[in-house]
Amino acid sequence: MTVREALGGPWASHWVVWIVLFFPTTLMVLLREIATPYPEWWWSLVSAVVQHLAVGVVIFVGAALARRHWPILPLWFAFTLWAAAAVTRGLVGGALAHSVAGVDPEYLGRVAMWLLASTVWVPAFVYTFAQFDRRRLLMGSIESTMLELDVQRSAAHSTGAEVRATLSSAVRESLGPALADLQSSLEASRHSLDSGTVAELSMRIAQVHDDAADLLESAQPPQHDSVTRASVLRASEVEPRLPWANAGLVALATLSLMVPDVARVFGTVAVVEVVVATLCASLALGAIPWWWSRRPGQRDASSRPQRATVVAAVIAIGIAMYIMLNSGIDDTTWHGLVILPALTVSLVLATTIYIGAIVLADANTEADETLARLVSDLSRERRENDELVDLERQRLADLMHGPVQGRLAACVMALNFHATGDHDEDQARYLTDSVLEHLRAVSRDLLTITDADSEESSSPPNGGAGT
Amino acid sequence: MAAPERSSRTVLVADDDALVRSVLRMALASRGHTVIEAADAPTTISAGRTHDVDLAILDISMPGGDAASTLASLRDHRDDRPVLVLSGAAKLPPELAAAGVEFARKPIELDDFLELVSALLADGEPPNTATPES
Repeated sequence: MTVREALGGPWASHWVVWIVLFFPTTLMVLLREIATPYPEWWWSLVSAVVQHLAVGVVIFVGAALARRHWPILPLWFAFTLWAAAAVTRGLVGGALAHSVAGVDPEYLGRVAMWLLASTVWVPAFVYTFAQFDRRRLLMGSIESTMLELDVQRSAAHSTGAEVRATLSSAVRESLGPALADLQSSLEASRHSLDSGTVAELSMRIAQVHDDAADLLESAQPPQHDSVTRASVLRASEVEPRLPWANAGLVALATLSLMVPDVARVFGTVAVVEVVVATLCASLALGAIPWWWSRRPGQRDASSRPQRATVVAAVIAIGIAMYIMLNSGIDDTTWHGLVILPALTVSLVLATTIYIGAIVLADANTEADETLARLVSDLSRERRENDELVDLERQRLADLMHGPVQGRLAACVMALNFHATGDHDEDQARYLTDSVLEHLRAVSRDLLTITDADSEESSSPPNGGAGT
Repeated sequence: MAAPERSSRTVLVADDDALVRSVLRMALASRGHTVIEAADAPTTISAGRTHDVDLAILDISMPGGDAASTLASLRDHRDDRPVLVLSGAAKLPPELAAAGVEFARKPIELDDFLELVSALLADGEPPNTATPES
């Protein structure tokens, strides 16, 4: 998956991303609007909702129009769309603050802060969602391919037997009864055969002859083919990679989101406290997965690699919480209490998004290679199985052609000649007796062929007519 | 069935199924032809050498030798007589197709068969070179 496919694909304007972003952006709006003297506290919430709705309109309408020309949006357009959403959010927030609270709308500042947050967060969000979705599809494909590979490998030992079993079943259910019926019809009327009866018998034998040929074509082992997405949990099982790079990106993203508003609302000391808390939390986010990846036996299948990330995130949040509430950098404790929810959400999201972006991209590249290898193995296995089936069918065809189809063809020709009436009584009797004897021999040989399932190299039945 | 032809010709019928040989013999005899029967490859080759055969009708699979070598032996002795391969196989094997023989699939309608025989025995090409199906 290319960067354009990830950023310009369906996830660039997906409703899931829009819904997921509602919670963190609302927290940011609540933090930001603490300084706005709204007449009621819930106006901040109204502002968040209205901003998000306006963003939704811009994103969905813009993307829908653009996708008429580009199924995959160009990167410049995707970034422009997200920037337009950020500008819209700033303008709507400022207009509401101005009209309801009567304050300076601060359009420039609001737009600048949302543009910064959007540039740092939205591409990473979209990229991670796209990679995660791709991973689910890849894992699903890998699992179904492995399943099919197992089926094909086990089928390698049973395809011949399945073909024979299918043939045996068809012989028992259709050919055998049809032949028995023909024999009894012919025996019942052998002394008073008129040309119409003979012609009808001839047609029925010709049908049995064709059915015998079709049997070999239809004797195929069952095929399996289905691809579904892997579960979210299964798709999340990826090895932690580049822990320090992840930690750095988490710090950068969190600070870009928190610092402007904290500075605007609470002042410089609170910013220092947020910076210290974020950097310490990021250190934990880098150190714990790094230690996890270096400990002995970490590649054991039972060791779930995402646990390291979860543990690191929990510890990082604990550290941030402690610093915000107990460090004493900012003496005003309630600042920390107000900032903490936004900081926690920011840390969690940044950890998820940036680790996801880096780890999933790498993991998907490996999964692509694994899938290609499995598909190649599967193709080879299918080809070999098809060859086995063809060999078995050829073997059965060799057995069927002379003893069964050859004799049936002879019966049809004999009865056709019988029906013309260009014969004397001795010839007619000879033809009828010979056809009956042939039909009996066909029934006998069919039983011999289908009962010889366990004998791969059984020789053709005796007395067979050539083809 | 069509009326017997005026000129009697000698036709070699080689097939390991006695019923097929009998039916073909009766049908050809009804047209006034003389039929020589062979149930295996050596007998076929021998009959082709000892009789003045105008047309050879061969099965693909016969005891004692494959159709290609049987045909080659017949052609060694006399390479101008037409050959009709009558088989249950869906199509003529490549080695026989290259030998320029006519092919028909069993079971064949006897009228079609006799028409094909007449055409092969005549000087011209057969009326329909497409493979007759049952």
